[in-house]
Amino acid sequence: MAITKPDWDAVPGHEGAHISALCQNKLTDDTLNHCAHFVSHALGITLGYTCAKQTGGKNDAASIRVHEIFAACNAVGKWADRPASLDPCLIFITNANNVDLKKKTMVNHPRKHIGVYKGGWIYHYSNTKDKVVKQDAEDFKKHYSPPFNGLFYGDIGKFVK
Amino acid sequence: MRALFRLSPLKLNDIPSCRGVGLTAADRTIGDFLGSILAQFASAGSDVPILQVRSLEQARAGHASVEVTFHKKDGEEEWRWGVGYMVNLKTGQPLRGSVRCLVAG
Repeated sequence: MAITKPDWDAVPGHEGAHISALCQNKLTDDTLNHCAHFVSHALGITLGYTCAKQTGGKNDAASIRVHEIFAACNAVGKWADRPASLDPCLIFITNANNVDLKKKTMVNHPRKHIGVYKGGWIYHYSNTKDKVVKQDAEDFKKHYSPPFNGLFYGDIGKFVK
Repeated sequence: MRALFRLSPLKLNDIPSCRGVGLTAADRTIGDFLGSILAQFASAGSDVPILQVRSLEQARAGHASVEVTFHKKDGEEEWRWGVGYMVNLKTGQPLRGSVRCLVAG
């Protein structure tokens, strides 16, 4: 399990990119869900099940499951409780009933999504536009209708290999 | 598909790629997992095939690599989740050690 010096500054440069621009393991089918896959390639998150494990690829492996990244964060909490100094960080959206903050777990319900928060903007993979998009938190909250629009932060800042 | 049904009693926790993929706390087996996906992804309003069965390649002599996945498009999202496994082409039996849970997102 590793997150190696996440390159937060490179994230905005991925806006508009298709997943094939980041993944060399050929897990690039547009019918798959790439939200965690994008975040993991962008930040170098390699834990749990990865694109390389799914395809047998030999290139940089990136995690592809939101709930596994959530569980590996240093700290998680409700978005409204995010420390003002925590920028950049990860942002999650799902039904609050599917999250246990004390145990740092998230149920593997399909309606969950992840993005990167940086400087007031959220960069995430749109699985219908099939590219990385940029939104503010208000628009990101509309990604799912209630009750699946609970927002949570994830702090991975202290991860080192 | 017959081979997949034979795999349904396998416990998720015994398969590395399947640990933690249950959609509910009650999902313990491959059968539970597939049942939960189907319950979540089935939709009368779907304009895409829900079930996809793909025979990918002969991963090893005498065996086919198969993926059975359920597909869903909903609002801003799209998923294709299911199970991959190998089947002995002569006997039709699945290779139990080959099972992978295909979950992304």
